[in-house]
Amino acid sequence: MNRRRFLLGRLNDDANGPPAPLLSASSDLTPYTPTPDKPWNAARAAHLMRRTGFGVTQAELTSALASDPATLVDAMLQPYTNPTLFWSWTQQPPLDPTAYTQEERNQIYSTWIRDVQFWWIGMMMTAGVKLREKMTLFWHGHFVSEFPKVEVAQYMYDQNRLLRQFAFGSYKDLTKQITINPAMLIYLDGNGSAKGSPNENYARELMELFTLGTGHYANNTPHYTEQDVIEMARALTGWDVNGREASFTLDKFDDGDKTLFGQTGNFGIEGYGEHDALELIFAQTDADYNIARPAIFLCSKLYQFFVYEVPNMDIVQGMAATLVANNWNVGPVLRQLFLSEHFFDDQVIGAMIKSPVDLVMGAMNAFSLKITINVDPGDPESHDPVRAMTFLSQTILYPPNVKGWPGGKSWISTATLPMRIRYLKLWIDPPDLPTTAPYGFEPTTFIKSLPDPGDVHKVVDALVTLLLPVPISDNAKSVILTTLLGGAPDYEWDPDQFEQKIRAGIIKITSLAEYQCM
Amino acid sequence: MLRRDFLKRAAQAGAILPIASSGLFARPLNSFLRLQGVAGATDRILVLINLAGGNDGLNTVIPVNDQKYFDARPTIAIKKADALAISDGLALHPSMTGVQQIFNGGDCAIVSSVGYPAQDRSHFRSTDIWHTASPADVIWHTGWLGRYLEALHPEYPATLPTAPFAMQIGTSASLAFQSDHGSMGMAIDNPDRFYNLANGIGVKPDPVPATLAGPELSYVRDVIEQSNVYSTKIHDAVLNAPNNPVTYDSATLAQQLKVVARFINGGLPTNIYIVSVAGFDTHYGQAPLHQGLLNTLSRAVKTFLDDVAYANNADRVVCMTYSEFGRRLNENGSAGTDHGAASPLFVLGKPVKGGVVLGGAPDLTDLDDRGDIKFKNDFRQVYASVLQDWLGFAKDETDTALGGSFTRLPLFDSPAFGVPDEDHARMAGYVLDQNTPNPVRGNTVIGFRIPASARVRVSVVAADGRFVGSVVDRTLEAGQHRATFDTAPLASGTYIYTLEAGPYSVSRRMVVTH
Repeated sequence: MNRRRFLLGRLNDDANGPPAPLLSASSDLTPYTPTPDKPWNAARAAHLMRRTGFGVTQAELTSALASDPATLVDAMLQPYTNPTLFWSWTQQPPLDPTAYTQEERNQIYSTWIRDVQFWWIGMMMTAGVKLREKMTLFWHGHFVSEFPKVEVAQYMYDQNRLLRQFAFGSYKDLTKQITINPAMLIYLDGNGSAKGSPNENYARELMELFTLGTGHYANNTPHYTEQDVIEMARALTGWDVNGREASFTLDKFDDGDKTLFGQTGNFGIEGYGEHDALELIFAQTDADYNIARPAIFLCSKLYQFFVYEVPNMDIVQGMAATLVANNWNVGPVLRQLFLSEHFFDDQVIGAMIKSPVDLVMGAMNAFSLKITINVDPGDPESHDPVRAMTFLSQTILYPPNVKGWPGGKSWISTATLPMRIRYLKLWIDPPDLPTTAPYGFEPTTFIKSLPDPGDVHKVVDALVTLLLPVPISDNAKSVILTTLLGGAPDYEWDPDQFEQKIRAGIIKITSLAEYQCM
Repeated sequence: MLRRDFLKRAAQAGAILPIASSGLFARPLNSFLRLQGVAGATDRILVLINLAGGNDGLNTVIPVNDQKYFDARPTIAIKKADALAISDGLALHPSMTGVQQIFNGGDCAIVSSVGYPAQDRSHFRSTDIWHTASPADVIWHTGWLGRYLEALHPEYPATLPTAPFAMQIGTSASLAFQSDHGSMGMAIDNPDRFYNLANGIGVKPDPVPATLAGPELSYVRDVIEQSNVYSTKIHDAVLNAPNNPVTYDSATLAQQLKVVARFINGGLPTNIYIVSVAGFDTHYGQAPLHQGLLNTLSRAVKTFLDDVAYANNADRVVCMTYSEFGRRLNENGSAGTDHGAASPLFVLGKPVKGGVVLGGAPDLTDLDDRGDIKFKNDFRQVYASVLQDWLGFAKDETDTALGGSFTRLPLFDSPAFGVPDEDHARMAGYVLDQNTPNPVRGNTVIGFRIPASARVRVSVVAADGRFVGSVVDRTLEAGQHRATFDTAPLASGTYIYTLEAGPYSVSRRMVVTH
């Protein structure tokens, strides 16, 4: 007597994924062309800026409206020189374990990892490279390593630079490089894995989380088998971390035949063995969509990261075809997606919950807050943005586990939501800190950046457009208006005189559920 | 506390699956009394401790007399001389002195070789299997505790309770709490940072847009509302909690259990808690890591149980550990172990029938095709035992919640508290027939059979547990009886009628339509 509908889903569903939505966007990857029905307006321009960057300012919005989507997206995808961090430790080998105790090393590395975190969030705030940094964050949540296990700050720094190098680059090449990346070799125990008793950790996660995903195709064939895990582990033997590089020792490599995905041969990587095990993974076909399985797998995750929590498989297939046609380069996939009808469909605007990075860095950007390091690391109310992200459960370089951050609705709980709203309140209206502090929000300057700062009614509209992804009712707007005026008649509105009321009005907006979405 | 039109919005959200057939059946009366917080309400508490990453069961409960164990683990086996003997041939990891004390005191049962058919070795998939209690080859989107709590609280989410039914100490609620009506539990990281938002908003929510943004907005608003509703109770509980003479370690797990103890000792009526500690994925250099993890676990659990005992709550608290899988018998070349299959779990607390290892030592001669321990006890047997024998859930509903009938394990000193479940009643000869007609408007006839002369009560309660009428309340002879009940005064809806005689109780559902 089973009174519930237990979903007998196929295993290639995401077990944590919500059921398919009742609503689905009907648009496709056709390039978006502004029409009177779907104009290139502030809502769409702000949507593009939020999804490809971190929040949006009035200046960015105005400039985007004066341009067009293709020009904007092409500018985001420009080639770049992979930046370096100027601290001298980044040039040095890992600390000598005989010269420092474990405790000393932990302390020193913790300081250095903060250098990397602040370097990174600084770049997230830098005009022109925001999409690059967002993709670096995507890869960090995909090819996960956790600093607490890796321990050595240099390795995390090197891995972060590798991920950034491939921000728009080849997924397949990145997979090859990450496989012998020192941070990854340590994190998933490839380091020292040798023939005879190989370590299975990396082999399993390589297929489960990095390229193929768990589960079965509709024809009930699994994406990979337990046997594939064993054999892949053999193909990956022989690698160690040596200084800041990976090194290969032929004696430790299992050069016997392995049977992987039904093919038998001496598989290895990086030219060792007779066949490339990673090429074989990328040659696996998705039996449901008849295209390379890793392309479907990655594009589903890209879709979830940039568009909506539940992948639209029609769109994902189109993206996957673009990925394969472009030799696994991600840049063309992003370009196609961000310029598509689907991306600008009203259905998806506002349909993502902000990650803590989006929430915190978006606020830093939108309200021109200054990044302040280490005000009080133990204090949840500190103005340190990395600390804030930590309390909201997303610390960059410290992902929760090898699967990365689950994202979507999981960002919001009774534990995190009150703090998310409280942080904004704290930044907009610091209770006990001088407003001249470097992080200080400047209400008058902020209001004066809007198109018609002298007209309070237009100010409300401008604030809603700038700060919220979806419209709100006249009733809600009137509450904001009343708060901005604080009881004064509208003709008395004066941005120079209403500082405290401006803070209160903006907090009304950032406390709305709509502000948690983008 | 009626809420906005939650169901409508949630259905729009697509967050809710259709329910194949409505409502409740065979619910013992005490479930209703319990959920309403009236006399007889359960105050029993279950604290689940998730050991994330796949705990190495063989180095936790060690088969110290089995040479195969030592042969398979040349560098990481725990020496018999170092391990803490607990029973013939089994010993605990040397760092687990706290658990050994509890075990020797008769308050810890170990269930050995727990797992499920067709073990999945993915951390994430196997964790989901444990949380949903699904068979390995199908995906369920609701959790075992979510289904239990949903059956117990049909009024949710139309009506919010004053305190959460279940809590995850952490930043997101476990899949185990998920139900067809959203999560039946909430997450709380630190009660000191659980702010009341009521003053911060003051803008009446708009209808959500008819786009994919709608469900997201509804979800956020629901969490805002829950935060506001629960915050007072939670803060009160924290303030009321006595300061007992115990000292928790600074480890995350210890601090999480400290929060749970504050809630329990402070009188929060929440019955289910989950805490979680990660790091058990010991592929490399396992020995020091595992030593630290088990030490943390053992000390934290001991401190926690002492804490609740000081506040006279020992009789109503049970802890249970779980992990997505055990680890391989053979160590790998990195002085670690790879993903395995079955492993032991611990059930701890004064109500536990302790000092035993159910299932005994694992069989190291009969391994699966990957060289892993085969399961002897299905994890759903443990769940069935906990639901029925500890939380007093009816057998039928337990079977429904777990998607099948699982043989229970003798884990508790006095199982089946309250009234015996319906099976017991049936076996003893107590039968309650379905009312006719049903659905009914006006009079309906309820038939029942008792095997011996007894004082019999047949009563009717509404779906929210409110008593609405007595059908029979007197001493009757053995045999078949019939009674008539007039539903005319009742509003349309689902009602539960229950036969109680001596220690037995059987319930059925009737539907009134006007």
